[in-house]
Amino acid sequence: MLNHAPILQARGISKEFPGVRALENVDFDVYPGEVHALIGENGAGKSTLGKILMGAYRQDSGEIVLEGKPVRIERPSEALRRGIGGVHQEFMLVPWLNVAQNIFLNREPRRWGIVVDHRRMHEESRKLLASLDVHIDTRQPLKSFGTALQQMVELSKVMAAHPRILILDEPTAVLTEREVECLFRRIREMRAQGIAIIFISHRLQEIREIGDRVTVLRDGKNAATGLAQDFSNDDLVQIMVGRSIAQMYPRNRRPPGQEALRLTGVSVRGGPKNVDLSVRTGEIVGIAGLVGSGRTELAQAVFGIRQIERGEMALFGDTVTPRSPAQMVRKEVGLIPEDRKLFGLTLKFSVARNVVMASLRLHFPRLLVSYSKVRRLAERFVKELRIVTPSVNRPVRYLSGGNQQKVVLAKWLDTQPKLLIVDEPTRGIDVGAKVEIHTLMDNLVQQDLAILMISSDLPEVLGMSDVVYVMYQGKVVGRFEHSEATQEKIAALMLGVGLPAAAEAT
Amino acid sequence: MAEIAESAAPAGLWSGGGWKRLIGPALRPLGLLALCVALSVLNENFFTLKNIISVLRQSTILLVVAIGMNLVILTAGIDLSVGGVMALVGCLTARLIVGGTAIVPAIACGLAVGALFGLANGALVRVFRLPPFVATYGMMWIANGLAMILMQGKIIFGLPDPFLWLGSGYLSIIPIPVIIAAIVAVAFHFYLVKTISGKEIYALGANREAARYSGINTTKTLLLVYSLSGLTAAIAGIMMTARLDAAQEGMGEPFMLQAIAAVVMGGSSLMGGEGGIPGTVIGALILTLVVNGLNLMGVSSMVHPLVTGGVIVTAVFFDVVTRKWSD
Amino acid sequence: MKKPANLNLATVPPVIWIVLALFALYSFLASGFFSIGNLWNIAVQAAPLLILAIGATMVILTEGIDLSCGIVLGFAGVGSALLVQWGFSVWLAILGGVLLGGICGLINGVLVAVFRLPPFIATLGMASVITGAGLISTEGTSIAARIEVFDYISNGALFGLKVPVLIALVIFGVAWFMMRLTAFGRNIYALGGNSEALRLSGANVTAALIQTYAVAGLLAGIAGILVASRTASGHIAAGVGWDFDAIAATIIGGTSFEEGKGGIAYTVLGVILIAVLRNGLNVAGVPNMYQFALIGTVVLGAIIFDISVRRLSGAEESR
Repeated sequence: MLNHAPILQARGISKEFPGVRALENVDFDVYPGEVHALIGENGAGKSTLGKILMGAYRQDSGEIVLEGKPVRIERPSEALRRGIGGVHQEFMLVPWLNVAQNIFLNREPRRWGIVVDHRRMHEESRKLLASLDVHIDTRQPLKSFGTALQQMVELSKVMAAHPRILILDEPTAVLTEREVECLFRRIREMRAQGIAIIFISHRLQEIREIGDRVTVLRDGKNAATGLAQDFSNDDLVQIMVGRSIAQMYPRNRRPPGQEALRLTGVSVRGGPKNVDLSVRTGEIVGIAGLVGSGRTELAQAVFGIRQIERGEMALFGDTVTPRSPAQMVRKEVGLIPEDRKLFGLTLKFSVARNVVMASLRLHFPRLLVSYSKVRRLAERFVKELRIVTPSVNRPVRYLSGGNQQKVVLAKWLDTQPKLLIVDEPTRGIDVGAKVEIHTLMDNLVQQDLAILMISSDLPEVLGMSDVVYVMYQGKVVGRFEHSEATQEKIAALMLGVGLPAAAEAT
Repeated sequence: MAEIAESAAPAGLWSGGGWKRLIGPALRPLGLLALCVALSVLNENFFTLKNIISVLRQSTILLVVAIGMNLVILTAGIDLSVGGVMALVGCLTARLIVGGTAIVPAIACGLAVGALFGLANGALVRVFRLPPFVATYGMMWIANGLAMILMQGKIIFGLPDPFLWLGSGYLSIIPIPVIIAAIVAVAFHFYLVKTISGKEIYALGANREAARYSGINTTKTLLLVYSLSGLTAAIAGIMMTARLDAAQEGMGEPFMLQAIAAVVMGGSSLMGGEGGIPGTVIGALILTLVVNGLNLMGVSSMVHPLVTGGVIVTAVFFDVVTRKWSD
Repeated sequence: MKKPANLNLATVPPVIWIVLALFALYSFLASGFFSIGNLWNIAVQAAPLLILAIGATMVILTEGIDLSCGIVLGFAGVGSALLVQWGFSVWLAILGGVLLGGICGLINGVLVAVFRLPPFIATLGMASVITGAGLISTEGTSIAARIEVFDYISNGALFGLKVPVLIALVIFGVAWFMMRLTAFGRNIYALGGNSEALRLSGANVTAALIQTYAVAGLLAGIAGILVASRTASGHIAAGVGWDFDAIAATIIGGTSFEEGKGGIAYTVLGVILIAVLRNGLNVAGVPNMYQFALIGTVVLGAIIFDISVRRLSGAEESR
């Protein structure tokens, strides 16, 4: 189905953010009637490229050529008018407008020019959603629906403009298997209609199912391009990562020690129910699961941010009722949160101030702060964790994702915890930093720390954990020792396969 | 400002800065200097010791209120009730003294009331999650109302000399209010810069969630900050009563806006996490000098709010712009 | 139905209970409260507040705030009274007053949208500036404007409704129409929700924000005319404290700063509460000086009550 000329081309695209070079001289193109998959590790730049192509970002250098003519696109609505539509991970939706209003934002059907025609808006919205096999009440506010449905709304919004080029960024991250099938059906229909589709993902299985061609990005540069069928999964992993599995996930474990954390029948308010879990010193316990399966809520409960409604939690054998992070820090527990920019760091503060933020009372028992000591502590961590920064006084927001995460890690290490909860340790981090953080984690458990790790990166969970728990819709549905864990078994449980009465998510 | 004080070395201005980065912090002392020059042109007696001391004394009440407001603003909040608390405490203390209570207990009572009012503000903001300006605006009405009830429309004057000494007395050549204000300023500056609690205030303002996740007790900190604001408003109210030898409802009214102005012009960001006492001192001095200048030029007092408003808007505008430059 | 927030009986706003309680209380304690004449009184007193509160609600929905609307109210009254004194025709004077309010609102909008000042500093500063301007132009006194039209506006009746109430209802109707059925209304909700999404979909966010504040200013101007006609004079301090009432009415009514819930229909409830509250205290003969403290307490209490009920019924994270 390939035409002779690509409908959209990107040539020599480069893009920099403060502290990070996201893309360097990248080329990419897509033909009408093809699905071109764009893959790469976190931080490889695929999302950034997608955003540039759909008009959400502007490139620093390089050009975009649409149907043979170079174009400059200022914003997504302009891209949409030119026929390029994009759906990416941060939705461009307004949470408390209703579904139809969101789909037709700024393009509402009008009567007499100024009056919005609500009836027609809802009708059209319903039709669009139905073509995606989604049947919801379009009059409800958007935020009453889960992420998966919100994504469908975002997709409908784009489809309403009949684009000729469609960019999908990680569309299946929040979907159930059935929804993925439905989406793929629609993609195939569109491909048959001659629409060019760019499919950004890091799920290799899906790439090979739906993709015609594939391009691999690594560290912001082109790594490989070719027909999807010409690459095996292992080839792709090797190209994406440039490292062997053993390098990525170091394991130098000693036998585990005493039980650091035990949860018995724990139910969290607004979160998972009836959870049994155990973490011992010297081991990494990983929790796998889809977005929305309750993992982060569990971590928040253990750390005192959410309320535990039922069940018991014990730290090193003593029963504990977590009430606040302050209390849990005193009990030598630390939490590296999922969203480091919002909850893990204070972006406008310096590296030094961030590093000591949780441990001030530890270092200064007489309540008077000494700056030279703060600086010395921070410099020590910068050296130990190899944080790249010209000085410890540099505001943290200028650091790259990987270095920022190291600062968060340093902050918690400074509190000398015995149990460390890590939520998505390497999200949004380039491969090099990933390896470093994994090595650090491995070193930590060698020193008898206990680590509870939440991750959506299956290879990471498999590679790093000694014990793997799987959560689905707020319940623990499986537990595997490292030796018996396989990707297929875990992925199946994550999607709820084989579980009794699995109600449709959201 | 705190960032620069903290590192105590040129490394505080992080590497890669251009002149734009330096303008923000330098603007304020320069502005103050410019004002002084302008005023010395208008008034040949400006740079005499007598006048300088007089100006300093004029600025003390505003400075004390602004210091408490500074703390609240550092947490990305605001306290609109300070004017009302000033009036309430001033009137209450005056009433107690005139009614026969000894001076020290009367003052203590006034201070306690101020702190409690602040505590109530903090509770509304923290426990009930009311936006700070709604909560403190409502409390302002309550405070003003209570002052009204207390005074029944009358003015109290004729306070005993030992009390008035607080307002018009001297320690050698330095007026007592200046000493009080200086003590308050130094104490709070030390608190903010040197203690853990002070650091926590900055952290809370810069990113409340991250502070919470780092184990900082946000409830305790917020309650403390608003109580301190109420306390400083109380101190200012007592100082004002002592200075004027009079107490009436509504006496604190102009100070709320001026306090906010002083803090913002002093470099504290309304978004929280940035700023400090030294800047606020400069801000208070600038505002005092502006009013001083207006009076010298014979401008009627009706114009004052117009100028104050204009100064605030301009100052905040510059603040927003220079902040963008240093990003 | 298509409103962003649902107004069905199952979720009766807690405010209504407070209003009913107040009604009951006053009917017992204050004779003369529950008479037709007094109820009309309440409605007439509430009319300017409703108009003002509609503007406040719009601004709050965009996650902003307008602390100058009370002063603008007074300023508009001053403006039209001055125009009358200078010999302009009554209708021009009224129009002038309203436009004056709109201009003040426009400046607010520009400060917030173009200069990026935080709304409460911008509007607080403006309040100060306008106070100064008002004081200067009136030399601190009130400007008399004893004219027929004003008398008619404040005391006349049309179609069986008193004129101020009629005006308020008409304005409410127009505002409701605009909020639900035009881009203006959608913009307001979107600005508060995710203004980035709105910008990316091609709308001019700056213009929309300025429009919102300008409309709030116009509404404050209209309210100012109503108040001026009642006292047959214009005084800069005529609206002092009304901004608190307007904001309080909005919040009590259920419009929230963070969630974009609510709308002007809800604000009506808040206005009723405050008007009833004030009127009842007057009828019961409570002296003015107690009213300040009392009203502040009740309003804060109502807001707290409203928030607590909401939080208890919602499965929110409680820390």
